[in-house]
Amino acid sequence: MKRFSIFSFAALLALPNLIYADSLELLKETKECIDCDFNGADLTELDLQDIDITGSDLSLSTLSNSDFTNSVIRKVKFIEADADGVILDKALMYMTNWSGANLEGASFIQSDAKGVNFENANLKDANMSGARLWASNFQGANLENVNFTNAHLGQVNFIGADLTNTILEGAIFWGAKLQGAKLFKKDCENAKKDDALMDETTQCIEQ
Amino acid sequence: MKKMFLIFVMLSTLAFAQDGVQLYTDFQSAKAAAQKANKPMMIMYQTKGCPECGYMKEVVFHDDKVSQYMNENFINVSLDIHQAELPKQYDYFGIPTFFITDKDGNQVHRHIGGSRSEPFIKMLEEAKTKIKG
Repeated sequence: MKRFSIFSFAALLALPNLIYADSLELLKETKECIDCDFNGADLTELDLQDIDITGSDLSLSTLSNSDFTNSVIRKVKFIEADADGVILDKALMYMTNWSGANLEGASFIQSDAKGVNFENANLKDANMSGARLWASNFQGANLENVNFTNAHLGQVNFIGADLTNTILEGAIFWGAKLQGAKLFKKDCENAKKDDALMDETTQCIEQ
Repeated sequence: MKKMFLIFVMLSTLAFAQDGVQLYTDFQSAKAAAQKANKPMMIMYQTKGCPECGYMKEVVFHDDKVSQYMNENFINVSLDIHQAELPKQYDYFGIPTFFITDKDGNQVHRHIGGSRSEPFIKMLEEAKTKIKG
């Protein structure tokens, strides 16, 4: 596989409108850019399926409705990125950092998202069904209407989170940190069965 | 005497639990046991500090249905990717990864990631059907 040229990509970003079609073709052809600097880049609505951008920096970038399905984005920084509607289905995205990012309506279906930092991110309406989110951090994140159906939530940090507006059917809670979190009773019972970490500050409320 | 020594070596690499899946920690010993018992192998790549691996070993592998099925139908081996000598023929991207092989170590299926007990047994059952003979 050819290594993606940083220079080519920089040129691409400088002239997004003029060479949009060409750049898309280039992306499709090369598929790889390791440890690259895309800080602040505008990658809106791009087809970025099956690419490998391990270790890159996409902080402050705009990724609205871009499609990263099946991509490898390990250890990529997306700090404060604007990524509403981004598609990350089946992406290999462990140890990524989305702190402060806007991920409203994003899709993470069956992604490998271990150790991901979602601190203070906006995940409203995100679909995380079947995602493997082991040891990820959701502290301070907006989780309104997030779908966690069959997600792996083992050892995640949900301290203080309001999970009453989320879907948690079939989720694995083994070792999840739920101190100070608010859940419906049925989800609390499942979490207890899975040995989640709960204490007197965990609120289990009637639906 | 040689036979006794071989049995001792094989037992010493088998992590016995009071209940739970019996796991070899050495590939060659597991392969020898698989050939002797004419059973396929389940090879788990894992490492310490991997929470998903911990869930599989501490929870799923201690589920009675899982351990009974795996102990009866497979020779099971758990290899720490940072400590064990890894056989070269199995590709992996992340951990845990499970390789299902025939008794000679020929891979018939690869499963990435942990799961609850029932889907895990189902995966093993389906993989087992792919083994010829």
